[in-house]
Amino acid sequence: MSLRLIASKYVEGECIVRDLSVGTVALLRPPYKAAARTFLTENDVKEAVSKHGFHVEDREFTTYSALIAEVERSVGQMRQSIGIPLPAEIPLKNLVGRAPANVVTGFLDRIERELLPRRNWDQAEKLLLDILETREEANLKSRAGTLLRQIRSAMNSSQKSWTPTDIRFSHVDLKLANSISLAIRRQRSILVPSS
Amino acid sequence: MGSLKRDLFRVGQQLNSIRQPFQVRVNSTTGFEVSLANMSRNSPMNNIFSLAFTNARVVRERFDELTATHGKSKEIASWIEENARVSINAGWFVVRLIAEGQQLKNCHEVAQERAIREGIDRETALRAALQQYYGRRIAFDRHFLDGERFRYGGMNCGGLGQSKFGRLCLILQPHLLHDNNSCLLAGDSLQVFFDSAGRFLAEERYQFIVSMSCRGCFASLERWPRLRSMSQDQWPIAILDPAAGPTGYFEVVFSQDVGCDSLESVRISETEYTHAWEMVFSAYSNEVPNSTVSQLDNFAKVLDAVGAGRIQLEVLT
Repeated sequence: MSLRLIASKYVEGECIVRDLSVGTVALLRPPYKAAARTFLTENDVKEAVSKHGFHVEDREFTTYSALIAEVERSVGQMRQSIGIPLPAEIPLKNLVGRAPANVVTGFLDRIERELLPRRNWDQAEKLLLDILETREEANLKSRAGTLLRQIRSAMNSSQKSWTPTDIRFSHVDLKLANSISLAIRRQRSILVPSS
Repeated sequence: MGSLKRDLFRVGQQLNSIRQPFQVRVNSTTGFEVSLANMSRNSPMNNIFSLAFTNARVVRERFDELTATHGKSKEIASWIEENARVSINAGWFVVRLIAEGQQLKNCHEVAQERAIREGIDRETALRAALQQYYGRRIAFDRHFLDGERFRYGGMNCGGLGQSKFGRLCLILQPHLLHDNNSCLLAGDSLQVFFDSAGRFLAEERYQFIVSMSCRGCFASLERWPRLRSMSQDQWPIAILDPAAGPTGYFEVVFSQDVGCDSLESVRISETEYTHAWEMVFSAYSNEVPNSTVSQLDNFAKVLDAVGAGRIQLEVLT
């Protein structure tokens, strides 16, 4: 496979690629799923460059993953060069606080339906704590609280289910290990909190 | 200061009422000097807005002929007058910059910034950005007076505009654009003004430029074969059809700055909006790549502006 990167707009993470093996031209954008490609004409490319801020490029790649890795690298580099570097942390709590209530309800549904059965407790707990901290709606808070208790109880039972007769854990003080684990989760750090 | 503001507002209102293109100069002794624009059609620096104004009369005459036999065209023209907005499609990063107080930049301004940043001359930066498309863009922009200040949008009577290259659709306040700072083209300027060999046709194509106040007549005339059999709910797609390419829309060329205050709303498709929230949910579990960090950072900044009432987000189903 041979791909030619013909135009880019790294601040948006977007690029236009010509697939030399089949001759198609497509616009790729995050999260770069093949199904979400938009196929373009030569006129579209002209318009993208002359009116929509795309820069002309001419580089070849042998695989999509190599191309996307380059685009990902360039996104950070471009933002840095224009003085708006990528943030160290995504402002997720801020986003959850600004989400419409129906979006938060959707998040809670997905925690219940997807994260809990898969035991993705860390992700669920972090999201629930952000919901509890940022939302005012009583129904959302109450449901988030219930789910959080459910998760913590599931976490506890999972830890209790380690049997002391298992030779691998015979030397571990399970009660102490459990309390350390909960403390780490609560403070979101393995470091001792500073005084 | 308040009194100066009020005076300027009054002057602005009076200028808006002049039904002919004009030029304003600030004179230190006499204050503002207003003169009616008198640009020669053959001037090397043609005023695109004056040309558009001149063409409007011919368009109105042609439109009167159409309405004489087809009454429906008058109804369509009035509907367009009332509902037409100017839209500009942009990505999250651009909308975020506008939300944070910056102005929308055209390719010349972006090149200027890059030139300063990288210590190169502006023309080199512009050529590097546009490369094989440099010729057409420059031929058009430099043919007209103040062409390097032009911004480009599309006439939009509903919908998400040319969303292929910008999933967010900025809708400008309707009162911002008038005959003195904007005009309408029957299609993409880089197509309309060039022949198939890429030669710039300039004067030969002046007839395709019309002033904004003539938008209803012009659009109904141009699209009449399609509009005549359509019901009202289909009219927006006849005015701006993203699938129809460079001739599927009316390009609006204007020189007005675009910032947060210039926006009536920012339209977004429900799919794109849902996708943004999907990224938020995923970011709680997975280590996210730079492109997602960037998108979510932009999304957060846009939502901050929405929360502060600086931007109105319109989710279209």
